[in-house]
Amino acid sequence: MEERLKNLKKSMKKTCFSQLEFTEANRNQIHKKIEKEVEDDEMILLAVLQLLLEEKTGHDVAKQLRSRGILKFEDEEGLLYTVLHALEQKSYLIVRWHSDYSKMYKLTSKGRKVLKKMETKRVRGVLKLSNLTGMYES
Amino acid sequence: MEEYIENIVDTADKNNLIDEMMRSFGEEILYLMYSYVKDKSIAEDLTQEVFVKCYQKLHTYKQHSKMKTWVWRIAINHCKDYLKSWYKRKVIPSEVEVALTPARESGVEDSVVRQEEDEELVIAVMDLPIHYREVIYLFYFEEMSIKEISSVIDQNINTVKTRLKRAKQLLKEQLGGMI
Repeated sequence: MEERLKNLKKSMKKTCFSQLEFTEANRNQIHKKIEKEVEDDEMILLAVLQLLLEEKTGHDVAKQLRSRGILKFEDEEGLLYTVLHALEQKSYLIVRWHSDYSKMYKLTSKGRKVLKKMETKRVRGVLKLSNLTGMYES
Repeated sequence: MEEYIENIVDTADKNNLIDEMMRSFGEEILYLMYSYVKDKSIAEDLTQEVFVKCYQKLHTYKQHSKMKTWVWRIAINHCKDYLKSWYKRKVIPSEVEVALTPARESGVEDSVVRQEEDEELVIAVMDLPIHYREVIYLFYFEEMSIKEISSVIDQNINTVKTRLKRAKQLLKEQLGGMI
């Protein structure tokens, strides 16, 4: 058995892998996909910041993102709270407990500046969703 | 503004890094995905998604860990998530497509026999349940050490050893007298 398994690599390359290849075209496709992902994320973050010009609960933010057609947090509402928490850590948001024990979020002046920068200058990479959501991963 | 400049540099670096990763590992990841899903176009889609995921997770990469191990962990987890997903349950599982390379010179019987043996082995390996198949694949195809395997599939070393042993028994039964 051992002997035959030593040939597994050669055998697989000759048989089931012979039709598989990873070319420059594949690489380019992935680069494009990454670029699109980055743009989408920026758009989402922009929407979150815009919504929080007025004080809202996380639930309201989620609802309004959905009505804007943003489905990123649809099955992962936790991700939205990760983002909100990260924005709070960066002092872009201020958090307040409402009388009915819900958490209310609102943009700080620092947050408004970032929003303005993202909106008017069309500056890319001011703030990235992936950096925010990744902050608490090990 | 500082943050902005930092991020620009960051983005270019990240793109280069991903490009490098794809050049070194692209094909191997495609093979790896195929070994789990047994379908060419699904394997291609998963490969794309794996590298997009790597890009998103780049900041979690720690310099002291081996790049390959890091990429493999992401790839294997992603693939297993896919296999668990509801989507998969709706799709009919596909048979192993073993591309039969036409026997070039008929009459060279020796090579024909060898080829049949190759195919038989590959089919038997691909037919193993996933947790046996993956250890066989990682050990014999990728030539990873037991320790590396334990780290990429997130199981302890003894589990890997046991599975490897059991997988070989299963293959032996499957291939009968051919050993």
